[in-house]
Amino acid sequence: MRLFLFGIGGTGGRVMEALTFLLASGVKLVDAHKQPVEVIPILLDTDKSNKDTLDGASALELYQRLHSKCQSAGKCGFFSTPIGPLASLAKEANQRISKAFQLNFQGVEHSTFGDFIGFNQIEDFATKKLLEALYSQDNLNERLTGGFLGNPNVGSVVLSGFQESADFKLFASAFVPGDRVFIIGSIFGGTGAAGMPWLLKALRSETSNTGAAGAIREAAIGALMVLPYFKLQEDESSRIDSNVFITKTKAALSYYSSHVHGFNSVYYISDTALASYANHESGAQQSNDAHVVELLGALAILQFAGLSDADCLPPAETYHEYAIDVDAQILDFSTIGRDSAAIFAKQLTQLQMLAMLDSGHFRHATHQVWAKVNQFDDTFFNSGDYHDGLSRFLTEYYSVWIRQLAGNRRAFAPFRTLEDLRDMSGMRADRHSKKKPFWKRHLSSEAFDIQANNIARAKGLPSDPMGRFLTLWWDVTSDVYDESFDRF
Amino acid sequence: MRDLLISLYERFHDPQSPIYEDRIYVPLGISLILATLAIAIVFYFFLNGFRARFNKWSHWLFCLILNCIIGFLAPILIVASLGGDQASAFSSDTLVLCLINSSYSFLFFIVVSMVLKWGSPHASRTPI
Repeated sequence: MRLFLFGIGGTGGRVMEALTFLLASGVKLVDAHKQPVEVIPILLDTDKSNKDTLDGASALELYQRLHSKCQSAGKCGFFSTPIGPLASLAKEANQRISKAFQLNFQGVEHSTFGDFIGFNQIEDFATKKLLEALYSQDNLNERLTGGFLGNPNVGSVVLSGFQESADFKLFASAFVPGDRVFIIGSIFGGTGAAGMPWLLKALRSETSNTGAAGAIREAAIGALMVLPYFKLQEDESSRIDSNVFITKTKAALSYYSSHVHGFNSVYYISDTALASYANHESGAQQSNDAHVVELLGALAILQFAGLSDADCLPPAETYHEYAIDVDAQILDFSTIGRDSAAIFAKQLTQLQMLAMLDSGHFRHATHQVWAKVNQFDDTFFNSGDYHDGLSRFLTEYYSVWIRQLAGNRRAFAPFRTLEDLRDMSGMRADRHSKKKPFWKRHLSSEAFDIQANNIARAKGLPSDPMGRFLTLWWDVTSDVYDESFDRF
Repeated sequence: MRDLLISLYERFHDPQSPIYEDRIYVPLGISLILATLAIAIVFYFFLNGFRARFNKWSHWLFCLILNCIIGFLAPILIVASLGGDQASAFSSDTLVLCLINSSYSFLFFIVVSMVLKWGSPHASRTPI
């Protein structure tokens, strides 16, 4: 089964980024029969320079590169879930199709909204007056480069152009019965609030006959609707005012309840607006820190993929909400909810272990048996695959993301920062690692070396060096975790 | 074994006193073998049997140098324990023997390392 994930706007990009890290850690995305699911992410944002969306796309690209080095899909391990861009489904090369994960709006983003709807070419007086009533002069003159700036009435018109794009046609032609769609977006801003109902309408349209339109109409479609979970600092020069987020959310939900039917599984998530971000309308400066709401929202995708057909094919219609165990300002694995922790605590801890060892140990361990047997020497650690691939993913994306989660409000801080890897027993915030008998090493970089030396001699590993490295360290971190921590 | 050890030392050592052949070469050779094996076993199976912290090239080199030092001192100690006038612990004959024994210690430790390392859990690739 393939899961087409539409991430709309900045929130869609950040949830997609959170999912990327969950899947990178080895959390499995499987269907109801425990078979692996292939993910096709599609990021929709006319604000091409939105840093949140760009970061999401960059993390996905690195993930895809690392996945290609790993063992075949379906096996446990870091980066094991297959993720590919829409273009990978094309049978022939087509320059109009986005090669990356971010959708190409084919020049729309450089127009004004007035140009897009051909306002100046409209000759009918009544039509023009109606449009002037619906849209302010600012709306009409605004360049679409910066997204929709909290105006879903603009976004809903502009996004309709996507239906005619080469990307949508490719999606429609590649879709087969059994595939599913999941849409992620906020409903208190512009792009997401506009995009979600529009995209649903385009997918369920009775008049569409593009590609596998029939299969799409009958497919399971889920949605993560993110309600307000942060505020923006007041800024008179900005056109975005977070004081109206709740009002816009109420308006959106009211509209959806009356006019938007067709989602088979809807997931809602929000939080009290504790964090206050700088008020940047769009562009590279719109870069909000990662928030636990985005991480927990990504769990909805896992849940949706695992639903049986009976639970999510039309006419099924279910609604879900999320609750944490303890209303704490700083969450960790013990307070986030036992069921959720059971899904990803071990794997995320393994990824954290890998990141810590990457930053402070691997390059000093080239004399170890596991390194010498597999030729993980200085040349390997300076290679493009490692230095510009795995290490870059861990230091520039994952570590930044986990740090932002811990520094936000409400925070998710499952790990402590450790200066000395000779004692990692306190790496988890919710518990210390288990005490060991005196002849066994406590949790430390040496404990990982001991386990890696034992495994490196015993097991056969993939032939590709990066694949070997990731497979070895998946097994090592898994064994060390099981010796050091109890499962949820 | 006795003849082998004597021949190994006589290849490079030509002392003035027969006491070396009669009472020094054999115990010296046995002490070289035992000391080298002991140090190598400690390095490969004790230090690196349960830990992965002492398996660097520098740790092995330390053991090699230690073995060479023991090899250098062994003739002096053996000659001194015999007493008498036939050989002096600091004569030129003894000092030459010290150098020879130290060299044999060096070579023997390398050979033993190449054999024993494969059974070591955490030093099977030390020094190479």
